[in-house]
Amino acid sequence: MHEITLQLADEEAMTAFGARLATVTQGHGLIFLDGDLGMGKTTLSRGLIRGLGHTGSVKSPTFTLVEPYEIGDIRAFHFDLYRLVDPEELEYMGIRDYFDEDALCLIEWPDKGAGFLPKPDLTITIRPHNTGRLLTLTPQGSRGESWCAALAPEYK
Amino acid sequence: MPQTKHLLADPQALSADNLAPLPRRAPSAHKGQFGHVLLVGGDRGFGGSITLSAQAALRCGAGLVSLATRPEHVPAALVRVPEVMALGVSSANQLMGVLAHASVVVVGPGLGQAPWGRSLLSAAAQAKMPQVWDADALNLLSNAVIMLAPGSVITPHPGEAARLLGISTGQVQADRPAAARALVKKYSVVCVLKGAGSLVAGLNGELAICSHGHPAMATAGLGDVLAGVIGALLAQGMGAYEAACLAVWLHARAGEQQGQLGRGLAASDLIPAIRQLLEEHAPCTK
Repeated sequence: MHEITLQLADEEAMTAFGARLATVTQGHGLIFLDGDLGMGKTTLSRGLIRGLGHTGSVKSPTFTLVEPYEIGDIRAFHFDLYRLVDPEELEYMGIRDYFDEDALCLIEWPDKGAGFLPKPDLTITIRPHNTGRLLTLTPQGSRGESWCAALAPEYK
Repeated sequence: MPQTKHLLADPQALSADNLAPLPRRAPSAHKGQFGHVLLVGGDRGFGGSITLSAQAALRCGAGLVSLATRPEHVPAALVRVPEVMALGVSSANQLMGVLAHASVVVVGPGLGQAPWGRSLLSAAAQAKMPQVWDADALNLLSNAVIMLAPGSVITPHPGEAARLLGISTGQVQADRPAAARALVKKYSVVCVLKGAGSLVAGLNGELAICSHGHPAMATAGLGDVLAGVIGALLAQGMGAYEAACLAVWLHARAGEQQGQLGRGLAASDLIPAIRQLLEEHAPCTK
């Protein structure tokens, strides 16, 4: 397990990192985004989804729980589980089906869905650091490790 | 400016004389020319509502009709309307494939406001074809910032209109034309404000009122039928305002006819009556 940490100075850097993540993942895999309100989870997601080639707006899925994107052959789902009342609600919205076809799934507030989500390829934890952000990338499994291996040299 | 000429005028009363017709069909017509309506809704406990919408869309001449609902509602829907392509969807992911094939989407009847309905609505909201948003889709819309696709229609009753505008139902009813116009402005869609004296408001300031109807129409499922009728007319190439006007008139006239039989009108009773009225208004062939 090779955890990596990186510092991002501002929103622009967060968006650019999202775009890098898009390239590294090639639009497949499961990523958890941890961090308090206002940490930039949605900014990172926006950078990633735009990085996959989406040209329209990227809205926060806080109310709808999930925003789907179809970008050429790539399917991406951006989840925000903040308003989930009970993790079991995920079962009623067919959560498992989203993970069947190896689409890219980004999940904000994964703790709210504990017990009903599979193990992610990567967990990104965002914390404040000076005026910017400190990101910890924790891979779980070989796919996440290969992403981290690709990113590590760029963010030393 | 021409687009403001209707703004302060009284609403136009809908009648057979001022409604747009559907074009006649050529002898060589095929189903691909009359659109593909996809109906999305029917969470647990509400499978009937979206099935009624599908039946209405089919009976108003849509070329193809698909239904996306809870998997457990599919067998019942197939028994009721085997002509409809019924697809069980348990997630927005499963909806996306079928969305790509539709030319018009009707979303909302029986959709509910739970995560299932919310996630399906988010998939529909990303699609670009004209849509009819009804019932729970409107309740969800009032909580979210979503732009509907061009050429779409919303069909609120006064309570839903009030939530969408953030005012009371009393305020909506006190000035219904103003409420209908405010919704057109807010969402850039055609608005059907339901209730006795249904109003249709268009994007260029058009406003029409339907003075037909019957108290026997005060029953469940009537709105589901209306949404399906609008969807079928859109699919056959009518503009959003013209489709909404014709659908509202057909629906109210059918309700008048069926209402003569008294209390106990079932929403599905309207569907054959609407079909007949549509044929009288705009015959399929010469």
